[in-house]
Formats: sequence, structure tokens, C-alpha cells
Amino acid sequence: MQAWRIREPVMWLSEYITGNRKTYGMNLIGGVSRDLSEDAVSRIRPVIDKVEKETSAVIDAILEDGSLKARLIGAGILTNEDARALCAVGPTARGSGVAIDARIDHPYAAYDELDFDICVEEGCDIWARTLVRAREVLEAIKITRQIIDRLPGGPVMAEVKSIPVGRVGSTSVEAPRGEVHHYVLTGEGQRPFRWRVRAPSYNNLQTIPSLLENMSIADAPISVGSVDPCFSCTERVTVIDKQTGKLQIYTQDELLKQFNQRW
Amino acid sequence: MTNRILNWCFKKSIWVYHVNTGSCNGCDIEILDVLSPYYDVERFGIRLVHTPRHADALLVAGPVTRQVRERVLRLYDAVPDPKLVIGVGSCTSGGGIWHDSYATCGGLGNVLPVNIYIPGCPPRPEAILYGVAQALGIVPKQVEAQAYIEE
Amino acid sequence: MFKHLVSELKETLICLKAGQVTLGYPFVPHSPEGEFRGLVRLDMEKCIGCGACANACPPRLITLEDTDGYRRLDFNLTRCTYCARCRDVCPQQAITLTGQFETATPDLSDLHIVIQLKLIHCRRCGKVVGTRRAALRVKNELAQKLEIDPDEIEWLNLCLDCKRLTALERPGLSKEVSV
Repeated sequence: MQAWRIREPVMWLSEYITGNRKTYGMNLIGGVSRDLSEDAVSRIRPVIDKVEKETSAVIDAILEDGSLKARLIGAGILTNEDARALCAVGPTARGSGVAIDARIDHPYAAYDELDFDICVEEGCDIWARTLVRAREVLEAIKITRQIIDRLPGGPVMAEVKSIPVGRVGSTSVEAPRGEVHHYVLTGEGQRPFRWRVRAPSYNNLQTIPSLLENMSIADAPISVGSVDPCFSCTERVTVIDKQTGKLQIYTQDELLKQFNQRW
Repeated sequence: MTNRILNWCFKKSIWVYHVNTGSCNGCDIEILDVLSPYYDVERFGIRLVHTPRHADALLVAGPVTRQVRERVLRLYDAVPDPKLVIGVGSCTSGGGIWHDSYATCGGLGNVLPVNIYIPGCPPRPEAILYGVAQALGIVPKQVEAQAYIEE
Repeated sequence: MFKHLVSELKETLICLKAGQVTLGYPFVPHSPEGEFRGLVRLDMEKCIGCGACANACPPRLITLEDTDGYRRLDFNLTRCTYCARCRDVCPQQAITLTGQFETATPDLSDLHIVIQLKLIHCRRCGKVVGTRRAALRVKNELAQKLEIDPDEIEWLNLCLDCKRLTALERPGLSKEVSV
């Protein structure tokens, strides 16, 4: 509950700068849709100072909390070898000693000009993952301070005449749950024809069987919660013929006809 | 007589069961935000419950996907009368950005009888509070359609 | 044991120091500030019916149809995602995203905006050229730039093909050539 209280001023700041608390609507092809005013920049600093102070106080307070540690240490163990073999990403992997971060491995935007560390813990259990997430808040504040001090001037949007049809764009960025990969195929009328997201929860959910092995049932909900899965991101459909066991692949027209939908 | 007593009890603090029918979780996080200290809906006696049998209202978020459609219908039957159905977010009111997808049902109105829609993407916690209050009859409706024909 | 007590004390102090933070809403009205993107409203006097918003809207909620001498634009705001692309591309700045967030309603027909504008038809072939307001805007801007009287611009009620034909028929522009 304290974490919800601490994060609320950040939501108000996002609303002031971009117009909405969650769906910022800033990304356009060629740049961003609006600029940061001086007033907005001057509001950012007090908010992140306060968040840093309060988050450090919370981390400091829970580090020696006996009841939290008794619950979380030794539960939901994901060994280093399993994390590497199952391709876990994000805090799930960093809590098991695997130091991967898409901001450092495939730098995008201006991340190669900034100076920050990857938070890695060797505990391999839920306590380690919690500490990774808490420390990443402080790292993010460090990054934000560097950015505000070095904001360059200039236009926010490049001139984009028209977007050619049939081009492919694909990139990996770092989301709070891990590395997310987007694939876009451009189509007619300046709109995308195909857009595919490979969410980090798809990788992280594969680690659940090894998380739950040899654990008690009471630890199961919190183990799954520590991976922080987003089940909507794992929507996949595979059609297998029961008699022959063969995989069937649908084309777009067949799929629409099968489910009686119009395009 | 029993009906009048029940309707009087129903006026103030309702217990809510939250259903996610395939949303992006934006509306779900805003619903949890309404329970956080800044907006604190629990001071009105409204709380989240974990089973539809104890609930007075269903708070639905997300465009209703094909898989979840029959489960939502079963949940609706499991909630005892009198009940409210509240649709949170643009996905419930018109299907949102998935309105013409083969995998969704195009809005909650095609699946259940809805008492009130709260549009927004995602709606602010204050907007959700206003919508729940409007469903209980405490505040009036404010939005109006616009129409114009040139002479 | 002692460390556990100290940490519990620190957690209690954090909660006590925060105090009561609950906001006054709904007893105190809240007006959003900054760039908040709320309900879409259309200024009916400024809209010229060009359809740029219909082209730019991601959920395609703006439909445009020409019937009976009127162009009808229908905004179906039930699936609006409040992205403000319509506001960014409107050449007249007729669309605003107001600060209204209290938009709950039991009836979805409250979330519609409908505007009907008169059309101009080509004086030679009868095809639709555009709305009368769009032609008026073009007339006034051209008159300003060229510094002439707006009524002297007579090419605006012709469609593109008929404009070309009319231009060819002007005296002196085409000559008969005998081979």
C-alpha cells in the first residue's frame, strides 16, 4: 500500500506532461508528438527527489524484516542454469544472477550515452527478485536525473513524407518485466499491416514449472506472482488435429472464414 | 416489503467483483488505484470480494474475447440479485481499438445487460468513482451528444 | 530478533509520517491541468468537413458519407482511445480534447457527435467537389494572398476533370493545327 502511495505523484506528473496517466500516446513514426515545456521539466525534479527518498526509506525498512524474509527466502527458487536454459528475461533472470538488460545489450534511444548499473542478485528466490525490482526504482531515478541535466534543444519530429508499403521494422526494448520485441510490417494508407509483440511474460512463464518444483502449495501463488506475469501477453493459439496429431497452420483468409468474421 | 428493504440497503456500499476479460491491464491497475490511499474507495464501504456469490456488482474491464465469453455469462448468473454490471474503459463500451477483430465480441453490450459504461483509456480513478456513484443514483449524468445540421 | 523489531518500527514510522493523504474528491471538484486529454468536443462553426480526422483516427471511429447533398461526419466516441491524433491533424483546430473526465453513462448514444454540412456539386458534370465551407475557406485565403475580390474566383465549383476541360476551352489556349 505504501508503494501505491509513493507512485501516485509520478502518475500525476505523467498526466501533466503527456495527458494521460498510463497511455502516453507520445510515439509517432519520426519522433514524439509533443515537447517538454520548461514548466514540465521544473516539475520533474521535486517529484523524483521525493520518490527516491521514500523508496530508500522503504527498502531500508524491509531489509531486516523477519516475517517478510521468513516467507520469501527459500521459496520459488529458479537456479542460474535454469534461468539461462529457459531464456528468462527481466527481473526474473536478474534475481538469479543472470546479468541481462536490453538497455545495455542492444542500446536504443540514448541509453548508450548514459551511465547506470544492472541490478543483479544471487539469491535465486523471491526475496532476490523483490530486491532487484526495488533497487531498479533507484537506478531509474539516476537515469532520469542524467537525462534532465542533458536535455538538448531542437525539433521533436523528423519530416516523414510517406511510409512505403511492405517494409519490416523490428526491435527489442526493455520493459519493466523484461525484454519485449516488436515486429511491424507496413501496409497501405500509412497504417501497419501486421504488428506482433513478443512479450517478456511469454519467456518468464516457461520458468513456472521449475519454480514450483518441490515447493509447498501455499508458496505457489506468491511464486507465480513474483514472476509478475501478464497473462494477456501470452495469448497464443495452436490448432492440432486430434486423430493424427498434426499441426494445422491457418492463412488469414481461412481463419476469418472459419470464425465467420469480416475484415 | 422485503424488496423495499433490499433496495434501501443497496443504495450505499456495494461489494464489487472485478473481472478482466482480456484487457491490457490498464483499466485493472486503475481499479486497484481506486483502492489505494489517495482515492480510497473503501471509506464508502465499497470493497473488492473474491467470489461472485458475495458480490453486488460486476466490474468488467476489457473487450470480451471469444474464450472468456461463456465464463462471463456464468459469472453473471452466479452473482445474486439485485445486481449491477459496470463496464470500465473504452474496450467495454465499444470494443476499443479491437472493435473489428475476429477474436473479440465488440463491446460488453453484446454479451451482458450493462447498467453503466465508464469510457476512458484508461479512465481516471476519479472517473471510476463518479461512474460507480452514478450507477447507485447519487450523481446525475453529465455527458451529452452533440449534433448540428448546416442550413 | 532485535533487528526485526527495529525494521517493524521503521515501517510503522513510514506509515505514520505519511499521514492522511486521501484527496477530497468527490466532495471537492477536481479540474485536471496540463495536457490532460479528456472528452472530444467539436466546434461546429469551425469544422469544414475535410475528413483529415477520419483518416488519422486509429480506431476508425469517424465515418464520412456524402448523401442527399450533405456530408455527414459521425464520431462514435464509444471506442475513443483519447490519443488526440484528430486534434493534431485538424487544419481548423475545430477539435478539442476538453478536461471532462466524468463521462459515465448508461446510454451509449450520448457518446456520439454528428455534423452535417452542405456539399457543392460540379456545375458541368454534377460530381461532388467538397463542402461549401471548405470552398469558402479556399476562396478567402486565395483572395487574401492574391489581393483580389473573393467573388472573382469562379473555378471552385468544378471538379478536377471539368477544370481541365474548361481550361482547354478558354479562347486562345488551344489552336487547331492542320497537317
